[in-house]
Parts: sequence; structure tokens; C-alpha cells
Amino acid sequence: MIEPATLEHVTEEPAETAADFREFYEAQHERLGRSLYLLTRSSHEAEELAQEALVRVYERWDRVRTMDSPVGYLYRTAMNLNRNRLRRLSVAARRLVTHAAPASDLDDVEERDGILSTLKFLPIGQRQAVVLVDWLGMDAEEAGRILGLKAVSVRVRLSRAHAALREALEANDD
Amino acid sequence: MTDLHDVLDRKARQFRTSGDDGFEKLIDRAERRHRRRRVTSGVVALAVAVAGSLGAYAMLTGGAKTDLGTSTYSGIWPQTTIEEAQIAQARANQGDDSLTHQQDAYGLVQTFAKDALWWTNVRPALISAAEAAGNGPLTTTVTGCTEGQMNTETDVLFCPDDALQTAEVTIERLVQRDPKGIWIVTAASVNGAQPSMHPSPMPPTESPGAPGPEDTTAAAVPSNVEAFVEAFIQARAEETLYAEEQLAWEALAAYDSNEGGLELYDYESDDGVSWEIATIEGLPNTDRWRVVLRIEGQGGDFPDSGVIHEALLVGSPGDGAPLKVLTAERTE
Repeated sequence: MIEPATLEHVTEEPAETAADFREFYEAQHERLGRSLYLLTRSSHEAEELAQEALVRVYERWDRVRTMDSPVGYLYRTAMNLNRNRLRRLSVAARRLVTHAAPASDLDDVEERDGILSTLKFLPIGQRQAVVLVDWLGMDAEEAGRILGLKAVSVRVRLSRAHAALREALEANDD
Repeated sequence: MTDLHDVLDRKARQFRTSGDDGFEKLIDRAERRHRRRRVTSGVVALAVAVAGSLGAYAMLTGGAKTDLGTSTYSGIWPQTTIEEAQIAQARANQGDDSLTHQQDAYGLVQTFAKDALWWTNVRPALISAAEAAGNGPLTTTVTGCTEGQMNTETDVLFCPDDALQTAEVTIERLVQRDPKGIWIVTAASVNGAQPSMHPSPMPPTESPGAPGPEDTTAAAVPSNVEAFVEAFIQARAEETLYAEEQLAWEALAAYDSNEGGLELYDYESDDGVSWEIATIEGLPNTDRWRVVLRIEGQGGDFPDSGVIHEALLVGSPGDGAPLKVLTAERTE
């Protein structure tokens, strides 16, 4: 297939290109990991997804580096990987007659925090929109490109998420 | 929502990386995968070479039969005998949708590159109106990617430079020499050599007036193929891993990257989505089947029409191996 040849090409790039990717890695790795942590609520899962997304970018670095938004490419890859992970988890969960809810790093912290406890029950699409726009500061157009959605769909998801979070905040205040 | 960013930021900082050697681990991971894929690509290349040889053999034996009765017939694709060509012409004249594209020179060259050479990202050279209105012989070129298109998680498609090829194709209206006459490939070369060609995936060419293609092909489909497809779509509708296990590498990559809008698991029967096999057609001279699925639902991931179609290529990926979905694409 094509991918090995692509990687071969990448790995044979001059040293400055490798340094170029390392610079990209250093700038993005932690921020990507944190974004995925907010989505997965697990450091281990977030680290794994971030690594995989960065490996895929590395394999295609000669092309990705020339794109308008290499960061957008990275995040879109990571979001797709997370979506696939959720599907597999969902399928696996359905196969079990009984199963315990997976442990997560966030389950045992600050459950009293209305926003967080509500965030984890938001549909994944809304949570992605919150992380990309509210935390990473992207606009709806950019988030839409990453999620494969129209900007208006991102705004709708955000609006619904904000309504749920606002309700949680008010309840928390009470 | 001003608090939201702060709360998220505070929580995001709880993310812990596994160590300081993350970059080295990433490089190791990429190199391990690279080595594994090199082995896999060798196996795939061998399988493709064998398949190509079998296809070429089938075509040669088919062509030999033609020569017995019609030594002047020069068509090599998609119809390899004058009888097939005459039947195809008659069906095209009757408006058979599966054949009318052959009345268009550009369309035939495009189909030839995709279905006979198995190229992707196909781009025929433009054909002038005068040439298209003639009867040929017309020699033109078509470029394409020999190793399939790149399927990434982000729908980015490209072809490595060494996989980009150009074929020289000669076509002619061999049966009916007017604008309704079907074009047929009479010669093709890539880098001066005749390429390995796969037989036409077009439906069997019965005589006009014979029973319709649906009736005929339905009767010819082996029960194990139909059962395989039924089990595959049921697994998708129920979101079980069985569906993924029935995919060959290329199909898995296509679904995994959502290529062209492909989704493996988004159409659950619980959501009122209905599945049916629209058509199954055997590809001539092969043990492969082109299956078109019709998936209908409302809202969600569905377009406004509520109906989508997927075309699957089903067959054994190797000698004696069980059936798999070899390739998949959204057709509308």
C-alpha cells in the first residue's frame, strides 16, 4: 500500500525536517493530550490517542507540514481516533451481559463541581465542541473543519452544551 | 460561561504524560509499524500480481474463443468478442444504463482505468468534441494511481509520485459507427507495455428481450455469497465486531477513514434504519462479486433523501481464504 512508501520518504528526509517535526511535537503534544484527557477522562487513553495521532502525522509529515493548518490535521486525526475508540468500546460493552463502568481519572475528583459532572454526561459531539472552542479557543469554522461539520452545527452543539452546563451551574449554586 | 474555560483548564492540567521519552517512543512506534507494513505490502503485492496474472489469463482464453469465429474483431475491453459487443450495443441502444456510458469516449476511458487497471484518482485527458463525435480509432491518455488512494483519518487523498502512471488507450466504435455506437478499447499500454487488465465488471450481456439482468444474476449468486453479505449487514446494523472482521485491509482503511462518507457502524436497525441488498453481480471470469447495498433511514447521518448506497467488492483475498469485503465505496 502507499503508507510504507510515504513513511520511507519521511524517514529519509533531511535532519532539518526531523527537527521540524520534533518542534511540532514539542509544541502540540501536551496540549493535544490535555484536550483528549477532557474527552476521554483518562490519562492513559489520552496519551495513547495523542501518540497515535502524532505517529500518523509523522508518517505523513512531508505533506502535513505544507498544509494550511498542520494543527488542524492533527486534531482531526485525534478526534477521529477517539470516535473509533468510542465505537469499539460501545460494541464491546454491548457484548457483555453485565459490566462495570470503566474507571476514570476524573470519576474520583471534584464530583461536586457542577460543570465537570455535567460535562462527562454530555454527548461526545457536544463535548468535542466544548473542548475545541471553549478550551482551545478555536472558532466554530475551525472546529467544524476538524470535526467534519458545518460551523452552524458546531454552534448548535455548543449552544446545547452551554445550556446543559448553565443549568448545572445554577443547580450547583442552589 | 467565563468560568468554563478556567474549569476546563484546571482539569486539563491533571493530564499526566507517561514520561519524558514520549518523542522517542513515538519514533519507535512509527518505525515498528513501518517494518510491519513493509512485510504486509510485500504480501499484498504478491497477491495483486497473482490476481493480475489470473485476470490476464482469463482474458487471453476469452479472446481465443473470439478469434475462432471473428478474426477481425479487435476489441480487448470491456467486450472481448464480437457477439458480446453486438449484444451490448443493442442494450445500449435500448437505453440500458449500465452500458450507455460506453457511448461516451471519455466515460469509457475513465471506466477502463478504474475497472480494468484498478487505478484510482483517475484523470483522462480531455477529448475534443470532434473526436468524441467520430468513430475512432482514437488514441488518448489517462493518468491514475496504481496503488490505490491514500486513506488517512482525515480524508486526505494523494498518490506517491512513483505510483502515478499514464496509460495510452486506443478506442473505437467497432459495432455501430454513429454517435450512439459504443466505444470499445482496442489497445492499451503503460510505459510501452501491455498492462495487466481485469475483466469488465459490467453485468452479463444477455440478448435484448432475454430476462432482465436482475433475475438472471439473482439466480447465479451462490448462496454462501448472499449469506455472507446478509451476515455482514446484520452485524453493522447491530454494531458487532463481526462486521470489522469481515473487512480486508483496503476496505477497513476506507471505513476507518470515513472515505467518501463511508460509515461502518452509524446505521443501527434500532434507529429505524433498514438495510437491503439492492444488487449482486458476479464479475466475469472471477470469483468476485459486486454488491450494492441500499440503506434507508431518516435524520442523523443520512442525507436529505434518507437513502444511501454502498458498493462492495466481495471475494476471497487469497487461495482458499474465506470471503471478505475487499473494497467499499459510497456510490451516492
